[in-house]
Amino acid sequence: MRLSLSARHIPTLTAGLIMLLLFAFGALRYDYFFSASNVANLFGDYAYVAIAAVGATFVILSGGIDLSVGSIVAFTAVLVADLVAKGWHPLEAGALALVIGTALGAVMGLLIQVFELPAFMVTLAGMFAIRAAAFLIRDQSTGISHPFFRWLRSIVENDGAAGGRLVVVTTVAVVLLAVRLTVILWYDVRATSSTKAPTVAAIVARIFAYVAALLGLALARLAVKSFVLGGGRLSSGAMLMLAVVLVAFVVARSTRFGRNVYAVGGSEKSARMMGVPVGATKIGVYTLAGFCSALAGLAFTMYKQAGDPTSAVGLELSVIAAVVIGGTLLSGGVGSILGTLIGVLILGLIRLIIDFQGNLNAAWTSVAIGVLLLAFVGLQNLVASLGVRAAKQ
Amino acid sequence: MAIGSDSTAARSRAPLWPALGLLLLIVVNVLFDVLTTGGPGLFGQGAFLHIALRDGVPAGALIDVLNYGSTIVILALGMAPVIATRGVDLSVGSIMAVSGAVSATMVVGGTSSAAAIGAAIGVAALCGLWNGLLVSVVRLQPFVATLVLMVAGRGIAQMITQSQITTFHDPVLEYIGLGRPAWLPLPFPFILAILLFTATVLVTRKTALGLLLEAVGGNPEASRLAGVRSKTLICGTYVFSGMCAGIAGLIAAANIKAADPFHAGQNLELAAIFAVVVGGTPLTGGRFSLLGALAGGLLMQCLTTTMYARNIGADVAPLPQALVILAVCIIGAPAFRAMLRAGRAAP
Repeated sequence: MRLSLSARHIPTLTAGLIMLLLFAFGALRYDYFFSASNVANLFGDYAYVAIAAVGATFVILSGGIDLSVGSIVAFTAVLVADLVAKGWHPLEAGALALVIGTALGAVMGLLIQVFELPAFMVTLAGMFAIRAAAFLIRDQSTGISHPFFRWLRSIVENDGAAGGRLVVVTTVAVVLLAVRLTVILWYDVRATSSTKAPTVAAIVARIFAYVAALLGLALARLAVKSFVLGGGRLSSGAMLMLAVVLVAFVVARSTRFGRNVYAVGGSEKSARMMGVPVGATKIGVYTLAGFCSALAGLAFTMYKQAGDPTSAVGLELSVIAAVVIGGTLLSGGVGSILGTLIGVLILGLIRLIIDFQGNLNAAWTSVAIGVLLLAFVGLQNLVASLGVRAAKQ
Repeated sequence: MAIGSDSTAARSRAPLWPALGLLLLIVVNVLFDVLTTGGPGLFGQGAFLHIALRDGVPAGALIDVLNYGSTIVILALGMAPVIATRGVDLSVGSIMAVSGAVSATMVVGGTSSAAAIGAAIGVAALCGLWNGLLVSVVRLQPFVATLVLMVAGRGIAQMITQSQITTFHDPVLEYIGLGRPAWLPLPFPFILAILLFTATVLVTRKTALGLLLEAVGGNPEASRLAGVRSKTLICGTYVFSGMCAGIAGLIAAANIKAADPFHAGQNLELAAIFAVVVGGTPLTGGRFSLLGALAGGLLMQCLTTTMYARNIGADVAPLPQALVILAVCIIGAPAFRAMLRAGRAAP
C-alpha cells in the first residue's frame, strides 16, 4: 500500500482537522453535543445535502459546475408530494422523479457538451427553469402521508439498540478514518524529511499530524465514555446517504468512468489525446449529478414529509462549499468523495454549533459557509501557487 | 447574430437582434389581443398597445415595459463591462436587496433621504468592491466569487431589516421609483436609465476606458504585457456593477414603498446577463455593446410583461424565459452555426 502525500492533499487534511476541531469544540462546550442521538440527527439532517454533494463532486472533478442542484431537489419534492396526493405509491413516484431528474441532468450535459455553452450559464438557466416548473406543479407546500413511510420507519428505526449500535459504528469509523489520514501524514513526513530538508508542506503536515492525532485520540476516548447518552437512530435518509457515499467512493476510485472524470478534469486536451471519451464523460457527469440531485430530493422529501417549491434555495452554494472544503479543486482533476463527506459534516457541525448556541441569527450560517468557501478556495490557490513555485525550482 | 463576431460593424449591428425580438414580442401580443374572440382588439382597454391617461400620465403595458424594464437596463449597463472582461456578476439581485434594506432602515430611523440614498449606493459599491477584489486579487473564478455574495447578500439584507419587510414613507425615495416629471410624463426610472446609459456611453466610448476594457477581456495576457492595469479595471467593473445594482435596488424599494430582503431583485441576475448577451456582448468577453444591453433589457422586460399579460404567474414565468434564453444562446453558439453549415454542405 503506497502512502503518499503531495501538497494537493493539504486541503482535505485541513478539512479533516477542522471537522475534528469543530466536533471537539461542540463536545466540550455543550452538553449532549457528542451523543448518539445528536450525531444521528446530524447525519439525518444533512443526508440530502451529502447525496447532492456527491453528484456535484463528479461534476466539479470534471472541471464543470452545476447550479441547478437546489431546483432539482425542490422539483423532485414537489413532484413526489403531488403524485402521492393523487394516489400514487411513493416508490412509483420516486422512480419517476429519479428518471426525470436524470433526464434533466442529461439535457443540460448535452447542451454544455454539444453546443459548447458555458456550464454555469446552462445550469443557471436550468436552475430558474426547473424551479419555475416546480411552481407549475404546486405553488405551495404540500404534505405527504402514506403508510409506506410508517412501514419504512418501523423497519429502519424500530429497534433502538440496533440503531444506536449503527451510530456508534459509523462514528467510530469516521474517527478511525481521521486517525488513518494522520498515520499517512506521519509516515510520509518521516520518509521525505529523511532525504532532504523539510519543505513548508512537510512542516505544516507534521503539525497537522500531531494535532490530528491528539484530537482523534481525545475524541475516541470521549466516544467510548459518553455514548450512553441518548438512543440515537440513523434515519432512512442517513442510511441512504451512507450507501450512496460508499458506491460513489468505489465509482470514483475504481471504475473506468471515475478515472475518466479525473482525467478530463485534469486536462481535457491531454485526456482527449489519451483516448478518453471526453464528450461522453462530460455528459455523463451532468446526468449523474441530475440523478444524485433527484435522489437527494427524495431524501429531502422523506426528511421533511412535504413538497415545497420554495425549498432548497441556495443549496447549490452549500453543496459547492462542501465539495471545495473537502479538497476538490474547482478547476477539477483533484479531489475525493471522502473529502466531500467531510465537507458536508463540517457544514452540519457549524449549523449544529449555531443551533446549540441559541442566540445567533440563522442567517449567520450562510455567511459562515460563504466565508469558509472563500477561505478554502484561497487555500487552494495558495497551495497551487506553492506547487508551481516548487516545480520551477 | 452578432454574438461571437469581432468587428466594429458587428458591434454597431448588435442592437438589431434584441430590437427585432422586441418587435416580434409586441406583434405576438397584438395578435393575441386581436385574434382572440372577446379580446380587447388593437387598442382597446386591456390590450397590449393600449395607453390610457391616468392622472394625466400615460399608463399601459408599453409604459410598464419602460418602467420596470429600466431596472433590468440599469443592471445590464453594469453587467456589460463585467462580462466584457470575461467575468459575470451573479450577486446583483442580492445587492439590490441590500441597497433597499439600507435606505429603508435609515429613512425609517430618521436619516435624511439624501444620506440614505448615498449610503445605499455606497454600500452597494462596497459589495461590488468585495466582488472585484475577490476576482482580481484573490483570482477566484468570477461566478464563484459572486455566487457567495448572491447567497450571503440576502442574509445580510435580512440582518439589516431584522428579517422584516420594512415599509417607509419618504417622498424623495418614493419619487425614485414612482415619480413622473411634469415636463416629460415618462416613469422616472426610465429617465434614470437613459441618463445612466448616456453617461456610461460617454465615459466608455469618448475616453480610452472602453477600449481598455475590451482589451482586457479580449486578451488578458497581451493587455497585461502592454501595460494595461487589468486588476484595477476589472475591480472597477465590479464596483460599477454594484453601484448600478444599488440604484436598481432603490427603484425596486420605491416601487413597493418597502424594502423586501427576501424577494427584491429575485431572478434579475439572469435577466441582466441575458440582456447583455443577447445585446451582442459574448460571454467569452471582448467587445461589448451598451446599446445592445439597453435593447436587451427592454426585451427581457417585454418577455416578462407578455407572461403577465397571458396570466402566467411570477413564479412560473422564469420557465419560458429560461427556455428562450437557452434557445438564443444555442442559436448564437459558434458550434451550432458550424453544425448548420455542415448540414447545408452535405448533399
